[in-house]
Amino acid sequence: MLVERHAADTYRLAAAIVGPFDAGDVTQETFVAAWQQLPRLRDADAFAPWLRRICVNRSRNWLRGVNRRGRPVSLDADDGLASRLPDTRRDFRAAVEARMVLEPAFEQLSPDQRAVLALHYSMGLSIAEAADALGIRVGTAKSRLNAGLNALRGSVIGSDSDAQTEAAS
Amino acid sequence: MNDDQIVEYLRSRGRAEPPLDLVSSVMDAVDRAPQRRSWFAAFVPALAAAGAVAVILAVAVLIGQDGPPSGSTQSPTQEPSSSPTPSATTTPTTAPSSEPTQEPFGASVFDDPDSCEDDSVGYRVAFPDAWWWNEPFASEIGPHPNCRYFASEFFDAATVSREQPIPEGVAISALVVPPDGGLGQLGEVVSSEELTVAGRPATREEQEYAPGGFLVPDERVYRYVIELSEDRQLVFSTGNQVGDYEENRQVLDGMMETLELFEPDAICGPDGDRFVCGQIIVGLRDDAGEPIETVVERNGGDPATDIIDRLDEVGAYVIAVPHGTEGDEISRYRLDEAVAYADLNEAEGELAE
Repeated sequence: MLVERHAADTYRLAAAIVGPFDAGDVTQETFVAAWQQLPRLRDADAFAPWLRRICVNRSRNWLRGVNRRGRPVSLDADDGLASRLPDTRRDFRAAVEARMVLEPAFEQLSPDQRAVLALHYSMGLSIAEAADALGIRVGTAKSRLNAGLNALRGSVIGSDSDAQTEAAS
Repeated sequence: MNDDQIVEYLRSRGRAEPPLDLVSSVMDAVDRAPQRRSWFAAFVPALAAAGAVAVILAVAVLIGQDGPPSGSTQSPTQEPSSSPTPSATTTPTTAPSSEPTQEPFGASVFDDPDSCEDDSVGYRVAFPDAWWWNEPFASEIGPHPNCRYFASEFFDAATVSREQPIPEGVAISALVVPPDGGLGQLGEVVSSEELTVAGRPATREEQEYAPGGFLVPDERVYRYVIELSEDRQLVFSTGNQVGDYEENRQVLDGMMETLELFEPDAICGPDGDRFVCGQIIVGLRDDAGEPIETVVERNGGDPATDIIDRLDEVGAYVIAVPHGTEGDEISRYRLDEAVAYADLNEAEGELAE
């Protein structure tokens, strides 16, 4: 019931923060934690944001654990997809190319930056809602959001200049 | 590449398609999880994850009483008392009627009633004389005010632990929680009814096990959620995991007919710009270490559950524990514990980074 209703959204949030490779495990951890922490839930209507907060915390913890353990090599099926795309699908190709550039950059972000970007852009929450989910002030959320975006922009600039250099040579 | 592409990439991260077996794998994980407990777990003061605060609160409550030290347990006593006073007895007490010439409280509902009071919340309730109830005691998870647990059989306060937050054998329990839905949905709601209890709006409902919920198979919960004020609800609950479910329900119904509310005692209170006993202060800090919020919780037999939530979810920590007009030494000692707790939080933060 509760699991069926909220599992997909929880998975998507986890995937947005830690990536699809680990999202299933994080989702399981989230629900187990929710089950164990249920006594702290005082409002049935607040279950969704409460679960979201747990998922964010679990995702951040997961990333920190990954950082300590070492990051596994990505076996994402989409990697390398660009090379198999027909030239006529420019938009899709561009999106995949963007992903190839942005994915590694996103993985370099701090867990906190990842979380706020995921909540705001991937899950569509307002900055205030994202801040609430993270338990931080709106100003802090904005700061992390900008820092995360700037880091991604930086990776794009680096990639573009590399491409230009390659083209020139 | 531009910002639009970056945003589109970020949005695409939220469109991951869950695996088909996601729900079943999650439910399997929940089933395998340790400490799967019955509905009692859902009524525990949210203290287990914040032991230091629990201890602080316990001390804060006990400062104003002659209560026992934390963890003390004794055998039940036969005390003639229709309005129990704090004593060193921590286990349930049953008492013979003491005023034969005066109709006892609750006589209109129970053939042979007894009663008890919780001064910290401000309620008095009658129950069958043969039943047991608890006097105030402290455990490792915090204070347990008078008149919170009831059962037809003897129960032992010493059985309380983080894993067993309510004494084993308790059939009916009371808890004060913040507003909006009491303790949330545990399973499937079988029935729900709006009514008035002790002159306050209340909800009586029954829930049963449902897959994916938080009750064990075949478990049922029956409870009253009473609006005490804008920020507090009093929840009396029973279930089918201890004793006879129908008897438990009948007794709880009778108890709710007799429930009376009164102004709670304030063990301590504000003293100028000082925070005196019965309060804790929890500070939240942002990444730069700047204080961003201070929450003060006063008195009450129940712990500051909202603060505990914040502690757990936000990574906040106690920044001060006030001392009162009594028991300064004890409070200061507990302050050291609070500081140690804060240090622990910070150390974990450093590790995490």
